[in-house]
Amino acid sequence: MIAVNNVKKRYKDFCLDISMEVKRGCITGLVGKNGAGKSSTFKAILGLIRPESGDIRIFGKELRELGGADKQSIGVSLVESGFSGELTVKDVVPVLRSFYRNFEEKRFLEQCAAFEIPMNKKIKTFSTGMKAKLKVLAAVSHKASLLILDEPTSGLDVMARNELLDILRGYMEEDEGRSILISSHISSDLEGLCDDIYLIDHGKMILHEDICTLLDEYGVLKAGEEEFQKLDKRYLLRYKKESFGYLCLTREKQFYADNYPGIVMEKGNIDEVMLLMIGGLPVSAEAGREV
Amino acid sequence: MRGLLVKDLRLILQQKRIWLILIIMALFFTFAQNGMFGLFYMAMLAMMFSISTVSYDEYDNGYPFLMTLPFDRRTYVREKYLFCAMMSVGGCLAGSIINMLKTEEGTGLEEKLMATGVYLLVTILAAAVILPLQLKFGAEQGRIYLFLVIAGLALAGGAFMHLFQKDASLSGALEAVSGLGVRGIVGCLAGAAVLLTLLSYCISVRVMEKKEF
Repeated sequence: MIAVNNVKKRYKDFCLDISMEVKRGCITGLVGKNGAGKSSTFKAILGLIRPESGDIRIFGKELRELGGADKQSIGVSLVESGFSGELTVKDVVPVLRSFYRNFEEKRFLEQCAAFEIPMNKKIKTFSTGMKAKLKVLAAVSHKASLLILDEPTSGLDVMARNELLDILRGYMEEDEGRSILISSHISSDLEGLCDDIYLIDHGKMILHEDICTLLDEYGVLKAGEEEFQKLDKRYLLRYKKESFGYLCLTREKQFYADNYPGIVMEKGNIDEVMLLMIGGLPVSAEAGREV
Repeated sequence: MRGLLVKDLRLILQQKRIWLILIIMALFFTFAQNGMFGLFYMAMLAMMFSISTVSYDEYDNGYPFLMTLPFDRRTYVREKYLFCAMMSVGGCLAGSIINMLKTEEGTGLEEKLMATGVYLLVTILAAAVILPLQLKFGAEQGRIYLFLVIAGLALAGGAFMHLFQKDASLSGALEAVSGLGVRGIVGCLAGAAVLLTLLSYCISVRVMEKKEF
């Protein structure tokens, strides 16, 4: 659905240099700390910024060939941008009806009512959560085959987040050919939703993994100073010095479970992987040979 | 395009109260003072209101989301010019109707209709200058550049007038223009409006296609 190849965009003090793919029928997550390049990645994919090199394809078409008809099949929610605050939801309905030939008005209105979104109040008076809900409901309202959602659950309480994630799951179940590219700073949202995850840092993708692999095979070892020195480091991806000793990230959880039965090991999750991939040190080749 | 027109119309309709006040003011200008001024006021006001939709699009970082909706940037520019033309025509018609209601000595129906046409052309010319500036520099900076353009035009006008007074051959040219008659001048103005609008549209398309959000 989306193919990003060697896309480079240079800013004054930041360089975006990314390759990624969103496959048909998959939900792909994008995580990274603030300022890592998530929003720039979304902007590049949506054609809002012009990369200096590389190419981006959506539905197999180069971005510049993507016309209004193709954009009918894309639903978008951006974290810091939405409908004009001067409009009301009552105004947005005819706008969406005019833009999208497959706009499901009845369903949209039902969902707005279910999420208690006021129809006659100006959007600028909405809370952050209300605005976030409206953006996602609008994005899924026209049978798009691709959703591009930048921080869609931002500002929502846990109940609203779960309801919104259920809407996204329902959206995927309706048609197997649909795909979603989503970013969120709430990793549990992505763990329960995504098929694969990209981790971005300083404008570069530093990890791409299936979510099942990440949750099943990644682990975080907690080792004391002496324990760390004795550890076989061949399968460690990153380590980080802590007050108690070392935190170590591995993709071979089972190897350490089998060979170091006493070691404290936690199941991998997006937060831990992100923390160590970004904040940890790589295990050097020399260290890797130590047994 | 239809979606953009609906959006802009809805944005304008959100300002109903301001519209009402301005129409009352237009009625006041027409009946208490000069009817022609009321007409000009309505035409310019409608044009400025239509251009204010660019500010609404820009306000609160609205452009990135707007540009993901199903249209291309050329269509966005086309819609702005079309909406501006529609609003200007609407404003001129409303102003003209108000103007027709007033009976003024020495001002016949033909003159009023002619004035409507001239004011419409002037409004379109003004929009052709303002729109690319708004799209390029945004609402805030656009106003500064507009002021500079108006100052530049005033200076150029002053310089021309000075030259006309000094140079006999140029004064002759002015007489030749006067010789075209009102219809001829209106025709020239219409031609200039069409050419300038086309040029303005091309500049605006270029501006939007180069813009990053």
